[in-house]
Amino acid sequence: MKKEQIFLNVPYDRSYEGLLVSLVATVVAHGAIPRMTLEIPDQGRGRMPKLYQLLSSCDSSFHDLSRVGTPVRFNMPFELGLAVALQIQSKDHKLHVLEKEPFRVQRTLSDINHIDALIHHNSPRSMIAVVSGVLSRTTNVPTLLEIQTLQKLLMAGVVRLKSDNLTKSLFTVHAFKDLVALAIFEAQKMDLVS
Amino acid sequence: MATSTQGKGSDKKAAPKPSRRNVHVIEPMTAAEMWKALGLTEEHRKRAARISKELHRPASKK
Repeated sequence: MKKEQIFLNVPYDRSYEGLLVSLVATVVAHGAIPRMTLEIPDQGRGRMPKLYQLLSSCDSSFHDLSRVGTPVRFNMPFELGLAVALQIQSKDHKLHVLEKEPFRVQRTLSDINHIDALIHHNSPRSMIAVVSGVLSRTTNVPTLLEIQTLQKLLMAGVVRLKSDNLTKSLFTVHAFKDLVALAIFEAQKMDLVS
Repeated sequence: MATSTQGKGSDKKAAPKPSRRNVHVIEPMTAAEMWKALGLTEEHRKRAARISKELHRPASKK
């Protein structure tokens, strides 16, 4: 048992925002904090060490491989590869693969056939259920209903979060941090976080 | 809690369920610990409080 930081490796596109909010709500409701590469400002050669450092500071990671169409997205499988390497080096790191469709990952990335993908069906509600299925906490385990309530509150606040940050996307460092701050604030009000 | 919706929908084959061995038990952080770990500031807290207030305002006052 340890205090967890959880690395989220997901597509940065607007159609994924509902699923991102579900992930953030579920992670925070379990008393852990979500981390993402968008926290790394450096786009140059210094990015890789920082990315690996961020990943290795996390006790577990979720990797969504559901974006398999065009434009081709290589960042998610690339970062999954880094997590697999980290897991080989340090058996403490736990990784989970997320997918929209059952069994598809067995065709798209057969090297990880030994990992059971968590299928979210592109549904925020299913995302909460499957991620909650692999997380637990020592005390005060949140119910799915509580996490859904938190997720809905956060979704209602997303428009304001974006306008405050002068952005149309949640996938900026400022919008993401405000989202997590709001999640912690609301989770505390719901007695999910002390 | 290990509720899963896997296998729902039109898919004929049920999706594999995660092994229970993969469930990790977290010692939950306090809000203050989360705040510190993410490097959140008083400004973040104020913005979160303001948005929260708006979210919980009765519909008639929105």
